[in-house]
Amino acid sequence: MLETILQQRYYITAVLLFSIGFVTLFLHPNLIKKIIGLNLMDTAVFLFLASMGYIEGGAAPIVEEGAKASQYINPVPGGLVLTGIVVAVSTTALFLALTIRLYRQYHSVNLDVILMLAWEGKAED
Amino acid sequence: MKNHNVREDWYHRFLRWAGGEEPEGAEGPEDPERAEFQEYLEYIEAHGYMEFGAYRLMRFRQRREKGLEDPRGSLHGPPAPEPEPVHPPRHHRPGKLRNQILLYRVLSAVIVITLAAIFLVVTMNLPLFGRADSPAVNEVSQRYLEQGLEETGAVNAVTGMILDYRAFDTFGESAVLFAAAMSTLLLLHSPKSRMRTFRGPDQVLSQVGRRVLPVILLFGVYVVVNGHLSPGGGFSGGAILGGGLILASLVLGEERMARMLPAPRTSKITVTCLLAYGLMKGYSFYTGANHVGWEVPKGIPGAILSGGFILPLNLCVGIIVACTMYTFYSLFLEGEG
Amino acid sequence: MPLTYNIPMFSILLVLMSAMVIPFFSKKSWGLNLIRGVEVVVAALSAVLLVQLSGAGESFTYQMGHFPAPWGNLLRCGPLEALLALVFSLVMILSLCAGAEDIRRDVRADRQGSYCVLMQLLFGSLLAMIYTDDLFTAYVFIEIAAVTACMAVVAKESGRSVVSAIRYLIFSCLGSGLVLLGIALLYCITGQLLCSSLEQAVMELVATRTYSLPLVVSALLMTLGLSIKSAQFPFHAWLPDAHASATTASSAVLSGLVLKGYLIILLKLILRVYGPSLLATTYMDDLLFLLGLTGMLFASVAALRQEEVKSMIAYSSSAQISYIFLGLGLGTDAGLIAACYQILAHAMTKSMIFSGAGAMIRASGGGHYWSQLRGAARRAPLGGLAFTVGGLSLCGLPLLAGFSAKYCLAIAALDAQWQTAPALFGLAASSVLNAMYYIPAILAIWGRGKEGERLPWKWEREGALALFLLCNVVLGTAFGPVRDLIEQGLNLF
Repeated sequence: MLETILQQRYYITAVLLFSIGFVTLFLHPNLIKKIIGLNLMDTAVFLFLASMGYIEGGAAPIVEEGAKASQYINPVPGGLVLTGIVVAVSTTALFLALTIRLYRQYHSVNLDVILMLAWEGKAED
Repeated sequence: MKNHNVREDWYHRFLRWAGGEEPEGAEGPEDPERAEFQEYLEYIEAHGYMEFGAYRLMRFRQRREKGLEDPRGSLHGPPAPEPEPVHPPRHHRPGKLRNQILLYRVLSAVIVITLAAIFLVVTMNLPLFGRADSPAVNEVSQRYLEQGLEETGAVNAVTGMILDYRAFDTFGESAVLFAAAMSTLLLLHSPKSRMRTFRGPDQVLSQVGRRVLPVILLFGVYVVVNGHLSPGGGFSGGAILGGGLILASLVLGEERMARMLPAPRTSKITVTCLLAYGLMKGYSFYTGANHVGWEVPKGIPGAILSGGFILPLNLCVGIIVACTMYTFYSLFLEGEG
Repeated sequence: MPLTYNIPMFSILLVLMSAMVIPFFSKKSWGLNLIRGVEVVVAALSAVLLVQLSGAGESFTYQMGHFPAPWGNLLRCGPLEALLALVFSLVMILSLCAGAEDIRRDVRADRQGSYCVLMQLLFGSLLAMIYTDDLFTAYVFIEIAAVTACMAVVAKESGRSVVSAIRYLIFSCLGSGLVLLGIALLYCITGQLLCSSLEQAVMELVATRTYSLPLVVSALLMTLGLSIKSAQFPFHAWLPDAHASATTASSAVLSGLVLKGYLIILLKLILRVYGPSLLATTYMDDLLFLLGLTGMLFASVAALRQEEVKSMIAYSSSAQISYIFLGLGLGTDAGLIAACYQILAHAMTKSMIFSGAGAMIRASGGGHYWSQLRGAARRAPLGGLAFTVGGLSLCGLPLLAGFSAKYCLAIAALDAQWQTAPALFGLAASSVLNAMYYIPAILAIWGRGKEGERLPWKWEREGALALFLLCNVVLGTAFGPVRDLIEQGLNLF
């Protein structure tokens, strides 16, 4: 059991990171912290993917002519992480832009306060 | 006037509307709500945090007893609940929302704990870390590594994979970046927004920046161009280039950069690169699927001009990423003002 | 290989690249015309493909590039995919035509180009979701849809729409995060990303009973993520505000199409990756069924309490999505057919209702509460008619699309095991609830209200609404052929 835990330490770290991100995303009313939480969640998935691709003793996949596949780590998760990072950057940017817009309008980055103000506004809308 | 309006019931509102009065528009520039919120912010600045609903309630009571000259500092902590309602109750109350928020918090805590527990059990059951016999090491990755060199011409197997084997994903990925750039443009850009007055850069920043900037840009170009030969590629090199552009904007001043690279121009450059990417990949999708032949020559592996479309694709991706990063930065700066 | 097999690849690239051309135009009205033109082309091409594939009774895979199955990206197309692409592009064109005036009014002039770009990217991502055979590609396009759909909400620029957009984005990101995690888990235990290879790998895992827990958890995660994104009942909190505060065309597209895009991925997961038998042994079926059943009732009850027309329609969307889950959860072929029928019927009907409501709101000078809409149908007759027919269709009036979908679902429920009674009860109760909120609404809009000016006749809008009505009636009356087409498509899926 302990051995498995030690062996799977990267995956477990990823799970912990994911949970921290999840809690932050859901329990912090502050939008900036929510964004940080979202990024933590994404990072956890990337850590999971990247550590999945690692093979003990494997080199980075810059291949040489006639080399065997067993000399290198698995290149697929690396590519997936790359794609994932780009997607995470895009959603983060959109999130930040929306936050700026909300801040301009409601002068707050606290989602609870913003929702209450919007709720009040809805009745008048 | 406006708040008064809300507290009428629907029937009266309807009658007024039927009588030809239009309902007032949404928030104008002199929104009383916003003014009130400003006061609220000042208040919590001075007295510590208090919920907005509670604050409004307190203000409401203070306004009723007009004897108080200084509304601030009379109450510490949250006030007692609910004065008798003067107007008929409304449908949308902050209290209802607050209950929802409470429920939502409890629920999400429960969900997180369950999910974390499940995931921990799952990690114990996953293939062991770092083993060469894990299921992810199969014929797919083997072919990428062993035949990638002759099939794509790229020494860097990851680049070969994302720009040749799985190029459609990467096209989608660039489209996500483009979509995000267009979204921030739509949200934050206004053509008639005045440029913020440039304060003049910090001495240290400008001196160091001027010396470092060419190196950063050159390194970015190097990483992009060598994407198929060494670690790096369009995305990482593009991020370096984007960082360089942001530094340039800090050192040279936003106005000069805005003159060189205004938002419409950056989006046009991005779009040109995306179209080039789409056309190149469209060509290889079509020729590949229909077995037409006419493949792009792969060149000698390891040479800078090799790998067929990979080098131009990397260039396109690099420019897209750099422009998008710079667009984000400049728009956020504009949005801040 | 016949030339028509290039149509899926060509239409995805055409749509995405036409979106990218728009920033070059200086005149903003060209953007909208261009994207509608491209959608007409895509609709025509999909129709050609549909005729050919259903005539020949075949489906095909199309490799994106020079590399065969497990190495390169793959598209897969059969009659069902072609049908979905046809219906989606029709709905897209009609929604954009019916909502064109509202776009011009609600979206600031200098941002209309960006709005068109984003709508077209959204359509491209939906097409890619329909055609792709690769889970990771599906994830990338899910994210494009998330970003662009969020912007479709926010384009109206009222404070409320920004607030609802940020809630939408939070839920959306959470959903796609879960989907990504599910894909990563699945990749970790199988080493594949392509649906067809995954199916084999999953079958092997089931046969050898290895990694069964990660397998089930990955299925759960992806189902959870996709149900959050498609606003299935307990996760629908973001939907009503987002759909209600957007401009007409956005609401129509979001409710009609975007929610369905995620369900198509779910359908692919069920049929192509996990296989119905695995779902049945792990009780995932029953989970979907129960989600659907509760959603049908609760979302309808929530819709009853809305004072605002668009909120009510949005809640009704959540209820209608539950029908699809119910069909998927039945676990039989008939249930899947019913789910697909409901996807088509709801795509047509809901976007018609939103467009009709948009026309009525416009005719009432922007008032969107029921009290303000009294008599609105007299001011915008075709809009009122669209709303009426759509509402009646969702209540289950025979010869309309909604009825046929419900009928299909009822037939499927009869063949099920323990699900028969609850499913039939749910259908009946939810139809009654639908009637309880749509019929008073219909009476209110045709009732006597303030004599207002009639909405000026615009060919663009009225034509689109008339075509919507026509499509709805066709989907309702041509029950047999459409059902056969779906059945053929599912067999070849």
